[in-house]
Amino acid sequence: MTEGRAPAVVCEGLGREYRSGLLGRGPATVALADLSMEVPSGSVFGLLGPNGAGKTTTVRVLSTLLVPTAGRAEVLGHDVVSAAPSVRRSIGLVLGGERGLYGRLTGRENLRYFASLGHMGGVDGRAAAALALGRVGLEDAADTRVDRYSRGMKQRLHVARGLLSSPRVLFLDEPTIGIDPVGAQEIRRLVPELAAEGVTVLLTTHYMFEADSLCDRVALIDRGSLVAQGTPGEIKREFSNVRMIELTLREASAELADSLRAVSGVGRVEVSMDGLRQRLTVTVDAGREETVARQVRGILGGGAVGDLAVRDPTLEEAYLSILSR
Amino acid sequence: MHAVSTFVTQARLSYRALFWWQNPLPFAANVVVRPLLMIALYALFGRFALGVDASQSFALGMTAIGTTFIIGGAVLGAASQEAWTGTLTVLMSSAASRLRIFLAWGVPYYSLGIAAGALGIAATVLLTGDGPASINWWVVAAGIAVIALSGMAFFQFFIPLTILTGDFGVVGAIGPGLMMTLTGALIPTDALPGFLQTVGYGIPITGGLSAIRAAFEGAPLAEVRWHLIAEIAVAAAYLVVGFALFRAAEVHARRSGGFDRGPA
Repeated sequence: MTEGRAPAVVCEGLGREYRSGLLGRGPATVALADLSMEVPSGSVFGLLGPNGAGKTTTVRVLSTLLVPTAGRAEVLGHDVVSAAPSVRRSIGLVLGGERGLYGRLTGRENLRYFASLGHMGGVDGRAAAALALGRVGLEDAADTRVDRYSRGMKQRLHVARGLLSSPRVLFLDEPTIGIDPVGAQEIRRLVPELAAEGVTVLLTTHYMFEADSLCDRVALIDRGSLVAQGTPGEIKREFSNVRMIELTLREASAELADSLRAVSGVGRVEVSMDGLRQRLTVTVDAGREETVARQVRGILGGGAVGDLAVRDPTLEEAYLSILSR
Repeated sequence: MHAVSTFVTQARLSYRALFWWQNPLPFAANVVVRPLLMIALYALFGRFALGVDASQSFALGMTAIGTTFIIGGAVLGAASQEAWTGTLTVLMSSAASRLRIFLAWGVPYYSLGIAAGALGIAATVLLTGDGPASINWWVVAAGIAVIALSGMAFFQFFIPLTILTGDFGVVGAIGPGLMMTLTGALIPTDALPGFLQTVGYGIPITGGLSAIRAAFEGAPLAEVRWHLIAEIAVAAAYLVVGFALFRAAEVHARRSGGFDRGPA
């Protein structure tokens, strides 16, 4: 859907390190190292990685809140350092969490305040605030003070604020973290709508199913570096280099998992119960699945195995496989 | 006109969002009762320690101090709240005019200084028994207006430090101390060593207070105009340098790691 479009975001060898000490001469902590990626215009791009991987640092660099210490980045062709004001005029930034709002003001007043900062006066500001509140389903709570909002409502108000200026690029930094399923669903529902309107969305998240269902492309970063990049399907098939074997056993066996782990080509073995049956999810190296399946039947005896199926990994399984290399 | 109306909306909402003492009781305690008690305390102290003339001098000095302190608490409270609640990060990621953001932390509180100053003048007249007819009220009004302006500018000058440290306790220790000692509010400026007198003229209150004291003796505007102009010049200097430092603090924060000071 996004093939052939000019990239909305470009990172080339992006790096960011922090130095401690009063004068910044202490030891350096590397938050980003040589990150290169492109976000196609109009796409939903997921930035995935464990805590401390550099996701939020990347968003902060791209939204001009942080200056990179190496490399460069552009948003809609504007350099994030030398043309920062142009970048700011084109983007919306939604940070996760409960901070960043004025608790004493109502939701509507918060948006009117941010609208006034964007030079939207009386009628325009009121209209923009009402529209944004409607998009996130907060009309009924519009005139309630924000310090009485639930976490999910605050998060939706953050999204409304991010949409106020009709940005061409929207950064969503863990927008659904810590909020209830209904609130999270409201935010997830918005993402494809925005993409359909031509907004480029860069989403950071811990939730792999969220990235899998929402993102056209994803990038996995770990310890500040790019580990894999592609569509969720490509990540599952090409970058993880694993396949999954799922099998159920007619009789539970305590030693079986250990026996399987000893088989060449087998990685993780997860054991769970499916009613009275034992279910095993075995991660095997790609191309070895048929061999391993035969070995499994050999170890267990064909009669002990109920169902056995080979499938592609989920994005979460692929993510764990890639990060464990 | 559009720019003015959006700034008015911005400043009004900023005041409602960030001013600490909005509820009636804290408002009365901080904007009315505390300044009046300080004026009364020093007026009585002056009367019984030094004589009637000192009573008026101290009361006017504390009026000027009260005019600036209420603005200072509000300005620095607003800026530090922005840093602690994470809204500063949002502001700094926006394309909003930095000058308007900077001014919106000060302008809404100017009227508080005027109100505190007017109350202080009224209290001084009542406590010291000065005849209102002999006072040049236009000059007194102008003096309060320029002291409130320079007080606002002075505390806005410290906003960058508040943002970088996330704490206005440092400023709270420096600013009021300088005002109390070097402006003539309590200690006559001509009793200070020469270089401290010079420093005093670079601090708010000094010029405006001289004009007000002269106005209480009936001095015309022409006689005190240079005091008032000096006070305005001090205000302009602090605003200009304060805004330049604010921009520098923004650049520093982008290089050093961000604007947040509160819990993650």
